Order: sequence, then structure tokens, then C-alpha cells
Amino acid sequence: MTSEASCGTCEKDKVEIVHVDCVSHKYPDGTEGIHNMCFRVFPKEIVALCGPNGSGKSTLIEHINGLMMPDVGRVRVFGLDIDKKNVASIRRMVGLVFQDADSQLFSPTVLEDVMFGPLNLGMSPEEARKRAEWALQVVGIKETSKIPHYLSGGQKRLVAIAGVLAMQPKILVADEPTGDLDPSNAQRIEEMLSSLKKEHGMSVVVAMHDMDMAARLADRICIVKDGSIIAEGKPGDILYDDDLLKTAGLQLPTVAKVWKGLGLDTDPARRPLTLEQLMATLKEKKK
Amino acid sequence: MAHVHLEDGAFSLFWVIVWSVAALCLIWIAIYSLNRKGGLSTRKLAMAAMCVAVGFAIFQIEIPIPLVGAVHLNLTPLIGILVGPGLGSLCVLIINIFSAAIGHGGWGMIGANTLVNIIEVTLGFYLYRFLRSTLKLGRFRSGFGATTTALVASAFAVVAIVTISGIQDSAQSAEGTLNNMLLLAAVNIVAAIIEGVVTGYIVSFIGRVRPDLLPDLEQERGTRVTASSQEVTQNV
Amino acid sequence: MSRRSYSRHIPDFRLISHHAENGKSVVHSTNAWTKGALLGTVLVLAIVLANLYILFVLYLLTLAFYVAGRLPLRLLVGWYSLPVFFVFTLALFFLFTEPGNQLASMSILGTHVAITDAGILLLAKLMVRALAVVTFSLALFMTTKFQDIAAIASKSLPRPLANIFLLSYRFTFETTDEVSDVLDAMHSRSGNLVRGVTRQTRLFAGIFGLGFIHAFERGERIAKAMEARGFAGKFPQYRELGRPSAGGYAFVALAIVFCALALYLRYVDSSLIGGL
Repeated sequence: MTSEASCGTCEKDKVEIVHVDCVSHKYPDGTEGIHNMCFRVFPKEIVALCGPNGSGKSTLIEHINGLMMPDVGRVRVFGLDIDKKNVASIRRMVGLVFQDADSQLFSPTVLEDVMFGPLNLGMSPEEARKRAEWALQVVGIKETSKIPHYLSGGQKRLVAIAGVLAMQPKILVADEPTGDLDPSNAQRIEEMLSSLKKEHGMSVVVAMHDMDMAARLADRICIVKDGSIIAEGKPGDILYDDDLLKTAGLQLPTVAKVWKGLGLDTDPARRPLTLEQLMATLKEKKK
Repeated sequence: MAHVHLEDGAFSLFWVIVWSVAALCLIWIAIYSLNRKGGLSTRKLAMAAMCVAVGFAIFQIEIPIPLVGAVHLNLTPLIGILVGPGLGSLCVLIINIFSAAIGHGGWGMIGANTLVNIIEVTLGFYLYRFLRSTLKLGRFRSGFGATTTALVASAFAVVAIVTISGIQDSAQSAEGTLNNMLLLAAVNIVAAIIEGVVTGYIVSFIGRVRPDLLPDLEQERGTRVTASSQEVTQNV
Repeated sequence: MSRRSYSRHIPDFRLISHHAENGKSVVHSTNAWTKGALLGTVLVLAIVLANLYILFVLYLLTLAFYVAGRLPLRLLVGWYSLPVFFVFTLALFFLFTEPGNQLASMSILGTHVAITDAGILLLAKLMVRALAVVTFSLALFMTTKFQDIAAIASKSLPRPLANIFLLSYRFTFETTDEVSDVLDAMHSRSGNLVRGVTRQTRLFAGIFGLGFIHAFERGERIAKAMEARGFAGKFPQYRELGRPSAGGYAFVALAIVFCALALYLRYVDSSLIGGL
């Protein structure tokens, strides 16, 4: 049962595509998953949800896709309040990639797993196959007839993303997509997520606690702690706030540590977010 | 798990058909009762599938037991305790199909084996609930009691099935077959006690770590359980 | 992923799927429906045929089918352990109690027991019947890709059963690996040394309990992932499994004719029963 509470503090100047409006949710055992959570997603942006384990990131994510319903507040996606009647159409618009890739790959082969979503949307097997092949091409997977179990960890993640991509959602939500991957696979996933925004015009929401990745990838950062968003803003502001990050149980990204350590953090507008930016700025200063 | 430990060819074609039809009737009843309760939801489907997968994986493990050698367990009463008799019946049928595929029991024995296993899941479920919520026994004793009783009952069901069917090409009288099967039943009863002990420990383990996996059975008639394992009274 | 097989005498699904997915032979390229139909006919023949020599020929044919699939014989011999054990545990009693000519006798605890020729014949028949079906069944699963088995299951089982079958077949690999890994971890700390029945039982009960808990947690994640991608109760039909070739149809027809003949001679006109 959703009540009509609204905190009224959300800015009304921008048109959001997802609006989590002061949502609270308690688990059956009484644990509060999220409390008075206010969160928005705008078109063509990458939002990083950063917080330690158990902060409520996954709970928030599952509300956006309609897997969980709020006890208090409402979730709007493209102007529609999520309820049991429209949840199927919501899921066409919001694709969700879970943390555990293994549990998302449940069909006999890679291609058939990616076809699963389009077939559920009512496409014919032929159309679904073409869509699936396109999605696998986007993520760069060629092993289409393999049993998913025999893929590497990185490949499983990419196939899981392809499985959601094949439904052509407007928003992709990913829960810790690079967790426990080796650096080269993690980089591949990161580049893929970035390309979804740049080349396909999608909005991407990524839950993570890797602040280096957040610095490289995100247009906007939300810090989640104890079921609420405690801070939100541009990466240059959030990721250089040592006290804020410590409160949230997070760490400064490496770039920020170096920048601050060298005593160069005098102009917030010039804060580097990637190693390349850092090196370019240092070279400039050296000149 | 008791099993009609017979391979194909042991029963005549007539009895293969009879037991297969009987099993299909029970499976139909299970599907019908599941549909009446709202159908096979995605969650129940996933749980049943995982029960089959892990039951099958566990079956492949040899447990060395001193003086006995090694035993293999299938834990069908435990499956009944965890997912109930309706879903459990479907699980055991699939397990028997997998087993037949690898030569553990014949394809023609799937019907008879499914009948035996349905007895195990059903008795396992109802006896556990009775022992836990009515007699207020601890999890270990409830698990042990339910499993051992279910397996002893199914051991006698095996005796009955084989005695009624007879062994193809055997000139033994029904009495002779019965005597032979009773000897096997004695061995099955020993295995039932071992499996009962293991199941008792498993149920108390699950109850400590994830008591919410046993909620339906444990919330009958005021046996309070919360999902927090720290709050559950240790009652083994 | 642990690559240990638990035991040499229990077929490992991972090994079975390895041969199915990677093998190349005429049996691998045979249509899955043809192989399934042949399994049915082998089953019926194994049940209906009564002559030991003809049963042995049936067994040899199934063995030839296995060998034609370029499958390892050594593996098969190990995997015969369970079916042989099952047949033996039952037939052991019949060996001594089956009415017939006594071949050897002994006294056990004052009771006279004797092995009879009919008992040995019964044991031999049960063994050959069992091994014929087991051999063909293993050959079928080791030469048929998972996606084809999934297609057959979708067509031949009622929806709830097909759904459970497909998901559980898919995740048998994961759970097998997981249980394997836990056992490896136990063995690496010398946990396999038996130190008392109670301790041993508790140890394995913990492993099994953990296995079930992990399985249920995985089940919850799978359910969410399926719902997130629009699953509404029915697994979608991915592809059609092609029909058998003309040769496949002919082969199955021939096998069915043999079955029909065997049934006729066994149950209708038993005057020729001595031959079959």
C-alpha cells in the first residue's frame, strides 16, 4: 500500500525520467531497507550510487524496476507511478543488471538467454534472435552458443548486460557491475556502460563502492548511507569531500588523494577526476 | 532416500505402466493443488529448481561412515520439509528423471520411484510440522523423527511395490519375493536412521542460519520465529 | 570452479555436458528426437525380450552406439558401478532362493543355502537389461547438446515440470561446483579424516545445509532476474528442434517394428517365446 507522502524538497526545474519520491521500505523482518529516499534520474546521464555494503543501494535499485514496492512514497518512471498493473511496461523501460551474473543467466545458451527478454516482450523468435545478436555485438560477445556456466566472470557480466540491453530499455540500472572482476574485464564493463550513454543515448544508474570508477564514469554522484541519500552532486564536489566520504564509509578516489596530497586542491573547478586529467594538469603545471 | 533400487527390466511392461500411471495421477494432483493455491510463481519455480539441483549435487557425495562404508543421500524428506508436498512431488519426479538419465534407477522405474519419493516428501512435511508445532519438539528431533518415519514408511512401500509386481522372469512365489524384500527393507531402515540424523542436523543448521526458510511449518499454533537467527531459541 | 569429480562411479553432469557440447561424431549429429525415440525402443526391448542371448545382442548394439559416439569406455565402466550394485543387491537374494537346480550350496548359521542355475540366469538377465538401457541413456546425454534436451523437455513435459526441469538442469552445474568447492575446502584442511560418527555427520550436515541455503538464496536471485526481464510463467520457445532426417525416421521405424514383434511374440503368440 503506497501512501501519498512527498517530501516536497525535490527541485522542480528539471524533467526527470525516474523520480523516487521520499520512499521508505521495510523488509519483512523489520529491517529498514531505505528511509525517506529521494532520488532522480535525468535523460542521458550516468548516476553513481555510492555507499558501503548494506546502505540500501540494491533496495533502491529494485524499487526503480518495480521488483519492490514502497511502503511509503512513490516511484515514478517516465511519469508513471509504478504499481502492480503497469510493472510490466515499467520493466520494458528500466533494465536491471544484478550483482550476481550467474543468477541471471538461466537459459541453455548465451544467445537464448539474451533472447529471453525480447521473447517475453512478445517478439517473434526471429525478431528476438536479431535483437539478441545486436545486443551481443554491442557488448562484444561472440560465444553465442556456449552454455553460460562456462563463460568467464567478465563474459557473464557482459552477457547479463546484453540480456537487458536486448529489451532496449531507456534506463539501464546496474548493481556493482565490476565487483570481483579482474582489471581488464572491469575496464571493459566500464567502457561499455559509458558507451551506452554516448552512443545509445541511455541513462545509466550504477551502484558501486569503487570511488575510482565513480570518478571516471559518473556525471552525478549520490552518496547512500543507512537507507538514505546523504549527499548528491557533481563528482568534483563529492569525491573530494574527505569528511563526507568517511562518514559514508567510503574513501577518496586515488586521483583525489594524489591531488590533495600534493597540496594542489585550491580551485574546485580544476579538480581532475581521471588519471589522464591528473597527468595532463601536472604536466601543465610543470611547464 | 529409499528407492526402488531396480533397473529396467526388473518389472514387466504391465507393472511399469501401472506404476507410471499411478505416479502421473499423483503428479497431476500436485499440479492441480499448486494451481489452486495460485499457480507456480516465479519464486516457487526457482526454489523447486534449486532443490532439484542441490539435491542432485548432494546425491553425488559419498559420506564415509565407520563400519558401514559409504552412503549416498538424496534428502527427499528434507525437500518436502522445505518446499512442501506439492512442489516436492514435482521436484522428486525431476530428480528421478535425472537419475534415470545417469543410470541410477531405470527409466521404467521412474513411476515406482516417484510414488515412493512422494510418500517421503509428503510424510516428511506433515510429520515435521506436527512434531515441531504440535508436540513442540526441537528442530533436530523433529527433523530426525519426520525423516526416519517417512523413510521407514517408504521402505515398506518399496517392499509392497516389488512384492505386488514381482520380478520379471522369476519363478519365486509372492511369499518368497516378500521375504527377500523384507531383508532389503531392513537395510533401508538402517539407512533411514542415518539419513534421519543427517536431516536433523541439516534442519537445525538451516534453522540457525535462515529460519525464514522454515516459516510455514514453524508458525503453526504459536511457535514464534523471527527471521533474525539470534532471536530464535536454540532448541535442538 | 572445482574440476574434481566426486566419484568415479557416479556420472558427473559436467563431464557429460563436456562430451555433449564438444564431441564430434555421427551420433552427435543424429537428431535428438531420433535418439530419444530409440531410447524408448531400447527400453521396451530390454523389458520385453526374455532370451539372454538376444538381450546380450541388444546390449552390444547399445555399446556400439556408445562407441560410435567416440565416448570413453573407461568412463563407462566406472559408471556401471551403481547399476551393477543395484542389480546385485536385489538379485543376491534371488540367487539363493530362485527355484532351480542347485549348483553350489553352503551352510550359514545352520541354514542351508544354495545358488541355483535359475538364480544365476535371473541375475544375468537383470544385469544385461539394466546395462543396455544405462549404456544407451548415457550415450544419448553425452552426445546431445543441452539446448536440444531443453527443446525436447519443453515439448514433452507439462509446463510446470518443463520449467523446473530447464532451470534445474541449467543450475546443476553451479550447485555441483559449489558443493565440490566446499568439499575441496574441507579436504584441504584434512576434514576427510573420519573422527567419530557424530562429528562426521555434523560436518556433512553443515555442508549440505549450506548447500540448500545457498541454493535457496540463488533461487531468490534467479526469480528476481527472471521477473525483471518480463517472465510471466512460461519459458519462451527459443528455437524449434528440427525433425529427424529420412534415415532417422527409417531407423526409428525399424526399431519400433522390432518392439512390436517382441511384444507380439512375448504376450500374444508365446509359442515362439523360446526364440525371443
